[in-house]
Amino acid sequence: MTVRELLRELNLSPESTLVIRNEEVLTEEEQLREDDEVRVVSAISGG
Amino acid sequence: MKRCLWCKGKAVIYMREHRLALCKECYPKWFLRMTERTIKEWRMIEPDDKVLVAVSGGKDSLGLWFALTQLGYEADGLYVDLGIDGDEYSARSESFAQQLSERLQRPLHIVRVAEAMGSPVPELSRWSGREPCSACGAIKRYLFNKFAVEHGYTAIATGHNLDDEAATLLSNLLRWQLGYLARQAPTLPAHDGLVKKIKPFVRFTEKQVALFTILNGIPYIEQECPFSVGAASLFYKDLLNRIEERSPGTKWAFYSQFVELIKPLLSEKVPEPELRPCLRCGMPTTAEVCVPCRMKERVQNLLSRSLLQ
Repeated sequence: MTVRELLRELNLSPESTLVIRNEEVLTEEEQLREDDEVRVVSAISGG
Repeated sequence: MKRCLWCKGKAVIYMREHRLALCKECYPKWFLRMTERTIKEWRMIEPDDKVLVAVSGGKDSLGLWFALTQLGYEADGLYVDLGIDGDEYSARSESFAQQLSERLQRPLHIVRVAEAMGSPVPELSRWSGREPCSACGAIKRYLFNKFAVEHGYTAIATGHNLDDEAATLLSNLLRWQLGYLARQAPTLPAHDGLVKKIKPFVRFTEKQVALFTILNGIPYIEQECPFSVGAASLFYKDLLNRIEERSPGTKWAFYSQFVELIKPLLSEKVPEPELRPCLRCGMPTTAEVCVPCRMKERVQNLLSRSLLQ
């Protein structure tokens, strides 16, 4: 699946979310593998 | 795989509104260039200005402090300790601000709300009957301005980004808050005891700021303020991002066109409220006694009464 598809599955907006794999920030069309570990960073803050 | 438009390296971001993909080396350069352009366009920093960055420990303000120093501005930081204990939110935020201060070799000033106002923000909010975010905003703006005036700073820089500004604009528009609308701008000039306020990140989305901060290896507090749960601004930001997904560039058009076309008309029709020095602290206010001083007095009265009983 791609990063875009992952975010859609998690119901997160690509406009406000960064996906990081092994310290590398990924663009939306990047392919993810089954065993990939990714960090999802929400950039949105309130207040 | 997306390639960087500048060097053909592996892209880390594709900005649809700019039709621009950049890699981790070129993106920070683009970001600094855009920041400098924004500063110049809105005459944010003049050569003789002394800049104070309002630092919260979050990605925006830390990224801003870093960017300003990279651009050669000698900016100092001011951290306001709100005294929010939940998950050690304030203590952890302060340590991130301290870390960057050491890296930049620039001073970080600290003002503690509990000392300056007699009680920390959660108590001031509870006892004064104000919503936490409203009380906190009023206190922060007050303490930043007071500190700047007392220490000779002539510009207060905040990390407000495009998402913050577009969400505030939407919120004010929905209720036709003309007074607030007339004063929403990237630069608010100094007047009547209020120091100039500047927002050099107004051109960037939150995601773009987060990426700049992360790529520069700046640790920041990712945790949300415990009081911001359910904040209306989060809902408005989400709505605007859904529009942006369908129509890239809308957030910037919404905000920038307002500032360029509508705000000048409003400023003519909605005059600035007259400011005078607060009878207690001397800071500018529209009333006889400013809101923070009234909050402080109310809480002190309640506390002394409860001690007597």
